[in-house]
Amino acid sequence: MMLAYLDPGSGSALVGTLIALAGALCFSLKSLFYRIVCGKKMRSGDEGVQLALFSEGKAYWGTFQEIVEELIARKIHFAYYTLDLRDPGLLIDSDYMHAKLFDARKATSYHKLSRVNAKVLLATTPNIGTPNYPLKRSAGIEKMVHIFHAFADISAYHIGSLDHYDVVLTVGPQQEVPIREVEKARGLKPKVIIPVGLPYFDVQYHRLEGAVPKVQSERRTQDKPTILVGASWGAKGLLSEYGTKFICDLAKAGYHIIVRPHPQSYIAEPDFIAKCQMETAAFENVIWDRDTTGVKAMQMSDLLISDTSSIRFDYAFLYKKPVITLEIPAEKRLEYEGQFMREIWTEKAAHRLGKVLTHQTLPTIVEVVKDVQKAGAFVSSSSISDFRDETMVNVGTSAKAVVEFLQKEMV
Amino acid sequence: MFESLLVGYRWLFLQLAAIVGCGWAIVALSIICSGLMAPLMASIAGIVRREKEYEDVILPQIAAIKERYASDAERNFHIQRLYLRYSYSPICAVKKVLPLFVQIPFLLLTYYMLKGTAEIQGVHFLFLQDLGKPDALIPIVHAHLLPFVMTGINILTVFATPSFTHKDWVQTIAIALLFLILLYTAPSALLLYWTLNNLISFVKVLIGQRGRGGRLLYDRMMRFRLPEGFWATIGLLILLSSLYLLITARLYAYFFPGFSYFFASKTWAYLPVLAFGCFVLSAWRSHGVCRLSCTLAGLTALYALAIVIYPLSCRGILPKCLEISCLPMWVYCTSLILFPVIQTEYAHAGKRLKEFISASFLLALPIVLALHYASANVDFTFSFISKVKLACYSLLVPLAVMVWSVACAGRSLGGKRAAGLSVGFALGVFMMPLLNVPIGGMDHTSNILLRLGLLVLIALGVAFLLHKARRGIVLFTLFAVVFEIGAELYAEFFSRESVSQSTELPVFDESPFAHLLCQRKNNIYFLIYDGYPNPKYLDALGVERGDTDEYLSSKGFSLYPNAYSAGPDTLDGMRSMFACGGCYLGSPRSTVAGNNVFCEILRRSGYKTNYLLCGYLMPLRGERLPGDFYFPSVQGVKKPEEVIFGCIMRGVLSQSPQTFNEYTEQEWLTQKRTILRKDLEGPRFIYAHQQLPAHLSYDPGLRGSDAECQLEYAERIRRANEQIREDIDYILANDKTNPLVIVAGDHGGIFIHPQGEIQYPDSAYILDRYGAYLAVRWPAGFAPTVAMTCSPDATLNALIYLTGDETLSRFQYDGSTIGAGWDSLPERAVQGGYIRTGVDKGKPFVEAGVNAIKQGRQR
Repeated sequence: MMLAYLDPGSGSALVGTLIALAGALCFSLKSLFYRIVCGKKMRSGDEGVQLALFSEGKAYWGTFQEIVEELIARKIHFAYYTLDLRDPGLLIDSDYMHAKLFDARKATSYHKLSRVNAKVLLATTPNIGTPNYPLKRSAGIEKMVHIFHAFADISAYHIGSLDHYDVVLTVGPQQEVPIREVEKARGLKPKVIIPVGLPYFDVQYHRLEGAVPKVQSERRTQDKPTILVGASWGAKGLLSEYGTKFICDLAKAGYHIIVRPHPQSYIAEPDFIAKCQMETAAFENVIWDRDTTGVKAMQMSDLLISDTSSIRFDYAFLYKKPVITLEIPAEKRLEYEGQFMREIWTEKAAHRLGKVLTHQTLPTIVEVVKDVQKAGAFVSSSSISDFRDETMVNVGTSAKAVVEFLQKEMV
Repeated sequence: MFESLLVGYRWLFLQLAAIVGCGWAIVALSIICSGLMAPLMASIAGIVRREKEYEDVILPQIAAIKERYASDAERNFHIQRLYLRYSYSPICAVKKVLPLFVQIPFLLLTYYMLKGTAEIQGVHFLFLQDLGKPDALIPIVHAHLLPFVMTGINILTVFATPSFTHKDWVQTIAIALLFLILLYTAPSALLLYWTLNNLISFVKVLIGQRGRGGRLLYDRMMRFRLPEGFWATIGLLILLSSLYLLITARLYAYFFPGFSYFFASKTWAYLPVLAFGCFVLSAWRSHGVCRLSCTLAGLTALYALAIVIYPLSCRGILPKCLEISCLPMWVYCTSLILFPVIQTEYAHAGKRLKEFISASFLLALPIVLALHYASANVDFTFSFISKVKLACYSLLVPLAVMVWSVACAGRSLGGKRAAGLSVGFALGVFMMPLLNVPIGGMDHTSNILLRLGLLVLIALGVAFLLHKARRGIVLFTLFAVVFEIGAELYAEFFSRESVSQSTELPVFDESPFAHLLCQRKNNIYFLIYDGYPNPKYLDALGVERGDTDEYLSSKGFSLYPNAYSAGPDTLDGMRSMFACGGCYLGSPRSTVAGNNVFCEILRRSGYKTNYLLCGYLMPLRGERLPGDFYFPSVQGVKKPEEVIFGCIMRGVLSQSPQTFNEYTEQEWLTQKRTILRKDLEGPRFIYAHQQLPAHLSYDPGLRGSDAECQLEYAERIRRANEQIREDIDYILANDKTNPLVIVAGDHGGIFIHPQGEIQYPDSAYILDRYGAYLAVRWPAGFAPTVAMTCSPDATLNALIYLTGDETLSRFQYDGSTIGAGWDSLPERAVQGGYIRTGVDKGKPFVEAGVNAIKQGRQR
């Protein structure tokens, strides 16, 4: 009779639980049987593994994808830790990759991650070990290696983001200077800096290999071009700084606009994004894109308007399309490492990528777009290619470089 | 600690009740508990959501692994690795229950609190008459409304929950219905509390949809299609409910307190039929193992029905036609379905297995027919082992023919043809009794044909439902096998107990005769001559009656020419004589064999009891035989299965007493005389049931209308008269103890028509069935205290004489005759010596019957 006082939902849970218990028991008995009979021992996973990779989730799979493939191809055992249930890395069933999920929603996950053991931990997450970040550097990690997940320097990182890293794998030689400046400014221990390239970029590069869309000036003259607005999140985002007026102006001018905020914006500032969407809701030619990678948006568009986001580099280097940068004032970046730098490389790079607009020149954005529509580009394609080669090493082969470095470290 | 919480909880309830009354206090309590549990429920929802996400990610990968790897070891290895990657285990589903354990104390507190609170008893609240009792709000049937309201809200909640899958729906609805049954008789206070809780949950779910809840609910209900397994689930619930009712013997009071016992019993009896219907529907829509499972479940449902039917039929609640047609139906269904089911559902089985299955199926047919004949004989009580033996005997014929045909024809005939030939021959043999026009003592031939016809109809009906005849037979056979075996086992081990529990008459209760002792110890001779009729009956038929009356009268016997037997057959007639105030003990056969009140008193008083019975009265089913001497012994009597098989092989659907034993009539008579001569110490009781003159039941070739038959019958009467004279002469010559002697027939002549052929009970037929002979030689100086209206009065008077207790006269039998379904004879066709039915209603029994015979109204 006691059980009768449970509502059907609870009763249903009980039934499901009984089934689960029975299933678990059967599975355990079967596993034990096979272990005895077949002698096939199941490795617990990451025990004794010297190399570990840490990813926050599926959004960063692009950074690790080719590295993982390379490690498996070279038959190097490694652990792969992720916080995301839907991380594509968990789908790989390999004898060499010991993936493990630490569900971010569980209270104990960060605690467990803070106690993993490995000789080398490769991560793309800044802020590990910083006071406000839940994940601490594990005492069992001998060397922490940082790899960039976007084409940016540490000026856009929060203060202390790389303080607990021992090695930084950079995209190109230009990233070393800011790191040294920060170390000097804050009296930090010098890190080992090794330019390897950008694995995340290589994934898209390989995907587009042989099929890079050309600058279609013919198409631009036939139809209104599509403009992609790629915004960073937080105070350094162009939406925070400039609002949506320029988007409305462009929409009125008849351009098709894709607005793609950083995926983090929807998590960190959902109300602000909702407000921005309301402001542009009247325009049918304005759509908001939530795709994690933004690849489709980049392929569909003809022109990018962005802020300090590294999407500008992806857009220019991969697709060789025009880029307009909306300048973000320095005072907005007080919480970032950029305050310790004499000059921000990405600010200089913006002029080499395309046009830069400020508050004063933003009202002319429609004319600027018209100009580039006529001219076809702000900067020549060869200049872009040269710029890319200057700033990025190992284009298309960064994963190999990373793995070779890691192999040396594990010896 | 729980006790302390309970005290505090009760205190809270009582405080609330003091302010707003018990009813509103329950409402307030429900709201408070729901509020307190809200965070827990949110936590549960979060856990369930997370587990579902895991399942959405992991299950497809497991399926892919199973598809990729053929070896179970490989699959197991990779699945283990998968679980390691996700830090997951199948047991993780248990996490859903963790918050539930926090919820349980609230539930238990409420239950125990309401259970122990006398203040809610008799309290009226809104439309609830008594918070301490079930509501009984549904009129006419007095069923309870709140449980249905509670269930309805639960089901609506399911519809309104967006994340529920079809599988979740089926499971949750099934649980809701189960709780309906479990909580059905709970006090309305508890149901009010729980219904409110469910209502609050429902509202929370709707609100959680942010205004879209109503639309979602509507859309879901409009688009709802019954998921696979729904009917099977419903059928299972109905089946479990009916089994629950059966086991707990709740019967009608549980659901329909407003109905009469009999009506509710009939209604309840068909719950398993509903379950069977649900399983049929489910089997119809499924295939493979699922279909087989549904079919088996359907069989179980009908098995439950058989459990219901057995005791109900024993109590005479079900219509006779349903009773006699249902039971053999199970026999046929059993034999027809199982093997084709296996053959159909496992069609990928090897050729040999299929042939084996087909052959087995064919061989089962003779077994079926044999079992049918066994069940058609209402006189016998076949045990389970008897039927097993009969089934084995039945196989002898086809197997013998098969061996012979293969031996003679060799390989040219082939195994399959040999099997077919042998079965065909066996069927021919087994059908022979059906070709006989006369019926004999077994159940009516037309009933057999009725059963066969019903079987065919039912099989066709099921086949129609299932669209394909083959599958219909499949379902039917499977149903019958499990059903019949289960019913037989039940009848073997349980039916007697359940009957005894539910009947209103005591099973073995001698009271008020429990302490009676005989003060007088005269020897008692109870001489029954089977079917010896009233002399006036013989006169009316024109059969020479002989001079028995004159002879007995000269020997000091009192004749009772207007007396009659209370029963139309041996068992009912003798039982009523030995009942002594209506105390029926044990089964009819064991009553005749001494397991009765009358003989119990004699034995207690020091009598030696001796029984000489005709063979067919001896087959008993484990009943106790308390007498000192029996002839023939139990071991010496042929088993019923041997008798039936012998009848089948002879093509005789009859129940000749000579078939039940190895001795001849002369041998029986010799034994009787030996017992009569035997000088035993102490008082003795001798009961001798002579198989003379007998009646048409034993010789189907005889007909009362036939002149030759009359000569034959007259000869039997003559022989019976001769034996009476010899017996009485010997007794009176050798027994000087002033014995009490009863000379009687156990029932009427049954000469006009054999049993089972009367269609319009007329006074002639009533006399034919009940007009038994009765003459008693009372001990010197004794005159009967009770009027001798019918044969039970003889034994009561004997008891009064032996015990010296004249107050026993209050147990005088009311003179009512026992009905006979096979003859369409109603209960109380005769009462107090008068006809109570038909055109001669109110007339003296013997006179009316004689007149009817003379007028030719028997034809």
